[in-house]
Amino acid sequence: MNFNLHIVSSDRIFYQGECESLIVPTNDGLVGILANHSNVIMALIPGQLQYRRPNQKDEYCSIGSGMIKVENNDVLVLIDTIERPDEIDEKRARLAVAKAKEELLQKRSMQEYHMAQAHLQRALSRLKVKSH
Amino acid sequence: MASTKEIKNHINSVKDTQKITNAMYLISSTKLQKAKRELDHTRPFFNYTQKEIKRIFRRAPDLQSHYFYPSKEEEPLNGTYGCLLITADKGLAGAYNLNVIKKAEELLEKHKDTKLFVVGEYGRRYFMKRNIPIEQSFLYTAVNPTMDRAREISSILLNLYDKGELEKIYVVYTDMENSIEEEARVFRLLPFHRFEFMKEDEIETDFEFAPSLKEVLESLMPSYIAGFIYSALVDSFCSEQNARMSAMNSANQNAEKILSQLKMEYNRVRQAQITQEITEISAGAKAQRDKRKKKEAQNEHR
Repeated sequence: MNFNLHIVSSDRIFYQGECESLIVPTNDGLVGILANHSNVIMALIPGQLQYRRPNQKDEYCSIGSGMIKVENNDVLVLIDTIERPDEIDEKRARLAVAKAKEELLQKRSMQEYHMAQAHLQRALSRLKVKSH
Repeated sequence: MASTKEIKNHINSVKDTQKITNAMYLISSTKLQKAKRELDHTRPFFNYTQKEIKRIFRRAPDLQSHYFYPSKEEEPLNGTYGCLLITADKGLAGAYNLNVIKKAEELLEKHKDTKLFVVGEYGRRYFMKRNIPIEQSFLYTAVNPTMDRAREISSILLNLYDKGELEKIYVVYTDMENSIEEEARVFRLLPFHRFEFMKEDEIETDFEFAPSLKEVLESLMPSYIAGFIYSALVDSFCSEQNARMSAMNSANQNAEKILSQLKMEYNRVRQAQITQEITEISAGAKAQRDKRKKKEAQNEHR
């Protein structure tokens, strides 16, 4: 059983087509979606998205925040960024982790704190995806 | 009448200027194409996001969120307004900069307590010169808009908005309606107008929301706003390049016209000079001939 999957990020349409299984990160942990899932709208947090095209291996991507909508076997994932492992620069991600951690230690404005936190989250998820 | 040398100098300087305007024209057209391509890539995301927010709204029209006007409609909100003004970094783009600045000044006049956030060097200098206070630390260029920059701008604005320092946020930008026409626009970004999101009515499937409707909405908002700011930036950038292209095009044509006039004048002066020289020479020759003839006549007499 397959369902239709659209993954749209702010700079491109990432994937459109059939999908067998999809796992996304939410505030309550990872959520798996298979065909005939009940209709739901969920908020997504930065992390690792995993999807499997019919009769193929799992693929991993690093995503930013956004939402997912499941409507009658039609799944729409809307996120601000998405990256395949081969698009991730591991060295850069490592540097970003170090930089974000350092920024978190300094006492600065709330906005900068949140930005640093988001950076850290994104960089960590990139590293995780890369390690697969 | 000017001498040929002067006219020649003038022609050369016009030619040099034309080279510059022509180069600027070409640069603008390639930049425009690039920016347009990028905008096309982000359009689907933006459209989907807008659609989903609308959908959420229809599901829960009485949802309370500080992103929306209080449901007892349209009581005016008093307090500091924020205004994101998108100008170009440089001039030489026809009336492009002045159009948006005019809109922003109208806004300022209507509501004195407005903080200006200016993108682009031209706008910043304009307000600095007139001693109109703008947000000093807000330094963003208008060239080659990226999603990252839009996200930063939106996080700055949202942060102020969430803290309650800004009551409303306007965006003043230039919209390109088609490849010829562009228009300066004022758009209220926040708070949202409830009804704007509730226009069309469709029969909806029921959704479950996780963790809650409000949280989904709030996680969607920043990307929507960043998306809107990004498309406003790109739209303005495209309009700027377009305005510059047409300005440079007319400058080119103007230079062409001046050149043809100057060439005509140059040729006239040159011809006049040649004619004068010929007259002088022939007059001199004739005088010499007459003299010789006289001498010969005198010699014969003797």
